[in-house]
Amino acid sequence: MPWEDLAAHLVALLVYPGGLSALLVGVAAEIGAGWALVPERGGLPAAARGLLRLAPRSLAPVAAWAWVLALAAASQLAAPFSPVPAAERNSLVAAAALLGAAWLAWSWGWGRRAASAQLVLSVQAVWLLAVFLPSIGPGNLRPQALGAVVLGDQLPLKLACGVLYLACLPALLMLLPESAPQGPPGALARARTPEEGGFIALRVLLWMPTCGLFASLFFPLADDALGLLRFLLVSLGAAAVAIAVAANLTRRPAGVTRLLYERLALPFAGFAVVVAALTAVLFH
Amino acid sequence: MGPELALGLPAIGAVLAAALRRRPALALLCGGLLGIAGALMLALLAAPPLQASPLGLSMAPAARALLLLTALALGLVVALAPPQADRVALLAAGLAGMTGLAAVAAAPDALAVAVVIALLAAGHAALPGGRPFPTRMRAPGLAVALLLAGGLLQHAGETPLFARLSALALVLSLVAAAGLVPFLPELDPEEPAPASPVAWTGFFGPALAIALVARIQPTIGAEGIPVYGALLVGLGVLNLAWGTVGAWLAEGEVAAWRYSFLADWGLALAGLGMVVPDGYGAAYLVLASVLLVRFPLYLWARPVLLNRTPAAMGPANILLGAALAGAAPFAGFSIRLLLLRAATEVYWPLALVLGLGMLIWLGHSFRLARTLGSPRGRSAVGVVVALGFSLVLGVAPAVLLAMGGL
Repeated sequence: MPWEDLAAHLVALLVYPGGLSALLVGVAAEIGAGWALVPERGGLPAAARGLLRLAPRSLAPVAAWAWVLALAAASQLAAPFSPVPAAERNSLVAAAALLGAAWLAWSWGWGRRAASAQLVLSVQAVWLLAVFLPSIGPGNLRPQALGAVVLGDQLPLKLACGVLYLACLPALLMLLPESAPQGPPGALARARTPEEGGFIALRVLLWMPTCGLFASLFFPLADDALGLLRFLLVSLGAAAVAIAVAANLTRRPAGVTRLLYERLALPFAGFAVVVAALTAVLFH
Repeated sequence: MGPELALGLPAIGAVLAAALRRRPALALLCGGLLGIAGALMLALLAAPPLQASPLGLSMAPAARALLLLTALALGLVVALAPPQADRVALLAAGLAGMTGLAAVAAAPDALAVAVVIALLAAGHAALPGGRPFPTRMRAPGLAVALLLAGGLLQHAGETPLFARLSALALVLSLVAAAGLVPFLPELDPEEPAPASPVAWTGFFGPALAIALVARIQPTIGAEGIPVYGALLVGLGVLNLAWGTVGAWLAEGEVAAWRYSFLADWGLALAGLGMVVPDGYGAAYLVLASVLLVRFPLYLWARPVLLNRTPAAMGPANILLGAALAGAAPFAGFSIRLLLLRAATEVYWPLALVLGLGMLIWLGHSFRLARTLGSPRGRSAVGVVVALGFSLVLGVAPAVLLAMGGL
C-alpha cells in the first residue's frame, strides 16, 4: 500500500470520520442519552459530569481492541470529505467491525446485570438484514453507492430496511439494560474496573459509526458542505430516535423490550426479506 | 419539495407532540402548528410548481383532497374534544397517521404502499389499547399480504386468469386494509378512541382507501376490471346490509356505532365498484362525510358510550338523527342521489338493492343520535360544526368534488 493511502486511512481512523470526530459526536450523544434515560439526576451538565467520572483511568486491552474496531467501522462511512477513497469503503467491513466490537464487549460482559446475549444476537441478525438487503439490487457494497440509490424501484425496500435499522439502534448502541453489559447511559455513578470504563468509552465511540452508517446507506451524500451538513443531521437524527425509543422502553415494565423485538422487529425483518424478494422479481 | 413537506411536517409534529406530552399546551401548539403547515402544503400542492419532488413522489388529486379533509377532521376532534379526552395523544396519533396516509398517497407503486401500510398498522397496533398486538395486526397484515400477492400476480404473465386473480387480491386487500366485512376486527368497547378499530375505519380508512384505489385501479387491466368492479359492489352491498342490520340489532351502543361506519363504507365500496364518475364521486363524498361528520360525532358520543353521561333525545338529537339518516339537506341525501344515479346507469336492479339498504338505514340513525346526550361546551360547538359540514356536503357537493378533481 502506498504511503499516501496509508496516511489517508490513518487520518480516517484517528481524526475524521473516526477518532476525534467520533469522540466529539459520541460525547454529545452520550450526554444526551444520559440525560434522557435518567432525567431525575439533573440536566445536561449533570449528565456531562457523570460521563466525565466514568472516563477510563487505565487501558483495558480487550476494550482497546473494541475501540479500534469501532473506529475502523467509522472509517468506512460515506462521510463527505473522508480521506479514504469512495471505492475502498465497504459496508461489509463496517458491519463486521461493529459486530466485532460488540462481541468483544460481550466477551467481558456475558451474564452481567440484566444483559441478554440472546436478544442482542437476534437484533444483530435483524440489523444485518437491514444493512445488506438494500445492496442486493444494486449488487454493490459501497455505502456511497447504496446511499445514492433512493429513487424508484428500491424505495419500498429502503423504507422497510431504514425503519428496521432505526428499530435496532437502541440495542446496538447498548442503550437498553438488556443489551448493555456495562449498563445503559446514566446507570452507573463510577466505573469499578478498567474494563467497565473501557466499554463505556466504547459506547461513546460507537455512536458515530452506527448512526453514520445509517446516513451512509439510506441517504445520498455529496462531497460538499451541504452533504456534510446532511450527514451530521441524519446521523444525529438517528441517534435522537435511538435515544427516544430507549427512553420509552426503559420506562416500561421488564420484558417489554424482548417482546417488542421478538413480536415486532423479527416479523418485520421477515417482511423486509419478502419485500426484497418481490423487488428483485418485479423490477429486475 | 411539496409532497416531501406534506409528509415531513406532520411527522415532525407527531414526534414533537409525543415528546412534549408532559407540557400539554406546548405539545398542542407545536403539533398543531406543524399539522396546519402540513395541511397548507397539501392544499398548495394543487399548484404545479409545488408538485415537483426530488424523490419523484406524486399525489392523485382525490387522495390529496381526502388527506386535506383528514387534517380538517383531526383539527376538529382535537380542538373540540370532550373534556375527559387526552388531546395530546389524539393529536400525536392523528399526525402520525396523517404522515402514513400521505406516504401511502405518495408511494410510487403497490410494493411501497404495502410497506407503508405495514408500518402505519404496526404504529396503530402499538398504541396502548385493550386488544393484543397480533390481534390488532391481523386485518392490516392480511391486507399487506394480499397487496403483495396482487402485485406479484400482475407480473406473473399475460394469462387473463392472473389478471383476474390479481384484481381479486387487490380488492380484498383494500377491504382488509379498511377493516371491513369479511375482515372485521374485534371490538373492545373500553379501548381508548385512538387505538380502537373504529378510529382505523373512521379516520385512517377513508384517505387510505382513496389513495389505494388511485394506485391500484390504473394497474388492473381490461381483463381484471369486471372482477374488480363486481367484487367491490358485492362487498359493498354485504357491508351495507351487515352495517344497517347490525347497527339496528346490536346490543351495545359502541357496536351500533361501529356497524354504522360499515354501512357508510358499504355505500363507498359500491360506488367505487361501479367504475363510473357518479359512483366514484358518491364514494368520495361518503368517505368525506365519514371523516367530517360520523367520526367526530362518534368521539363526542364517547362520554355516553362509556356511561359517563346519560343519553338523551332532545331537538338537537332529532336533527342529528336526520343528518345521520341521510335526510335532505344533509350530506347523505346528495350521496344517495348520486349513488342511485350511478347504479341505474350501470345495472338498474342494483339501485333497488341499494335503495332497500338505505331504507333499513333509518332504523339505527335515531338510536345513534341518542348517544350524543345533551352536548355542552366544546362538544356542543363540535356537534354544530359537524352538522355544518354535513349541510355543506349536502348542499354544495360540487365544491368538494371539484377539490378532488372529480
